[in-house]
Amino acid sequence: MQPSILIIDDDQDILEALRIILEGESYKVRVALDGQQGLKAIEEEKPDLIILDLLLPGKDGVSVCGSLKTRPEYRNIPVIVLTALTKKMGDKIFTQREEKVLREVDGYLDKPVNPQELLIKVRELLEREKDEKTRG
Amino acid sequence: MRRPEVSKLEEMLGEQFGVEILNSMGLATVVLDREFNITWANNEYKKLQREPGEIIGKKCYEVSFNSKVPCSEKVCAVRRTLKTNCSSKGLKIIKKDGEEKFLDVFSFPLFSPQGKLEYVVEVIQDNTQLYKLVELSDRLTAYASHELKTPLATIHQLATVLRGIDLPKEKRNDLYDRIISRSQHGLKTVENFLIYSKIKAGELEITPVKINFYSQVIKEVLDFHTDYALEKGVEFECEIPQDLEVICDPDYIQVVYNNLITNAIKHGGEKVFIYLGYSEKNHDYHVFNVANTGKFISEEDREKIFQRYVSGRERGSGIGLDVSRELVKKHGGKIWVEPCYFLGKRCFWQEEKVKLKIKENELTQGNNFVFTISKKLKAK
Repeated sequence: MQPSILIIDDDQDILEALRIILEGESYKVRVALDGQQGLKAIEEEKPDLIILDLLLPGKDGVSVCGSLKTRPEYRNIPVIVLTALTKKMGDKIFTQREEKVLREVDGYLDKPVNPQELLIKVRELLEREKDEKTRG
Repeated sequence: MRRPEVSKLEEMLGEQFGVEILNSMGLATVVLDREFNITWANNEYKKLQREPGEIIGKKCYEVSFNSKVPCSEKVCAVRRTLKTNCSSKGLKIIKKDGEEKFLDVFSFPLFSPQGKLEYVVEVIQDNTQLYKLVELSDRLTAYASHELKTPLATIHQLATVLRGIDLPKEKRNDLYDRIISRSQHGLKTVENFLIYSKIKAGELEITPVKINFYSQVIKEVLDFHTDYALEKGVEFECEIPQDLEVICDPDYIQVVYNNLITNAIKHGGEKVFIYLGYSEKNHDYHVFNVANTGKFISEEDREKIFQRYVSGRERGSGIGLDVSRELVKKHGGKIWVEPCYFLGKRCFWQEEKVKLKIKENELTQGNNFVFTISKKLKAK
């Protein structure tokens, strides 16, 4: 069965572009438009990987990350943060607690993302997760 | 050797000479002994302190910071002067009436005839406004960069997909449409910033002309938003009379509508319903409203949302509404937001709801942005 990927982003155009990139590689893609919807989608069906924007209406990406990392059943889902906030700008506006949460994510890519770069990261994380499951 | 005319001047003016000058410049001045005891202070210095009352003989750190120990050498210009016998400068941040004050501090030594440092004079300039302006300007730059980066990043992302992936014609056209729509919205953002800079420079002028409001404002606005709105599942209802004539600057009133509609779409979530209305009941003003079923704006936030750029942590909390307020003001009008109620596609203002005695549970709560244009505007 193809791995499933959940994308949480409030920009419908970005969602469409990422969907095309990932479905082109036959991944099963689901989308959510805000943090709350994203967490609901995770509870409904646990994804194999999450691509997460940071600036989201309501519950933002950092809070979503924080919620996932505190729940044992979701802690190991690989998360790639994909944001138009560069790391440099992120450093400036995030609090220490948020920084700590963001240090625990598995990948941090800037928007716009090079499709190849994204696919390499996705493959790498899914394989790592698969290996860990086999070993575990 | 002192020049004789200086001594004469000092003699004539007496010891008030320096004090008068310092008070007239609005600079707070204090003289401290080597133990940080206040030996003299002018009125401006007293005004800066947290509480009124006698301060002579008290420690400066006690009256400024309610502290029992002197500040560190790193932040305190007086301590550096005491250590080096030289003048020094620094920044002091104090809290007064719950607000932070940014004070630039200059300190210089006073020596006894024997050459021993006996006192330190501290001259303080309250530059709070300046520091706040610099801070606001930094935040605005960061915010503007992000607001512009977002559509550009999306356009780039869509173009990358178009170039790199072989897609059916229909899908390609969909992506082209998205690129066109996003670039148009990016341009509107730039337009807002340009108007904002005109407002700040005091150069914003409107050119009122007599127009058919529907064809020269509403139709343009609806055409602009239609594709984007359809994609987001937004529905519009417009009850503005098609023969309405208004004297206004149509370009700037379009900007007001664009900001209100863009915000409704951004914050409205999925399938937001937007109602454009007009009330002809007012004798002095044209009264327009843009109501939406989006996330309800609480009473405490109703004024706050019109203040220019604040957090930047959530999209859309930008300058759009501030710009709109200034544009409406130029038209002799006002803009505000109040609660409204929807029964299906019908929009009710608070007073109508009460009058029609509609049951609360049949209604959807919404936000009603109301703006007015003076009927006394003269066409240029």
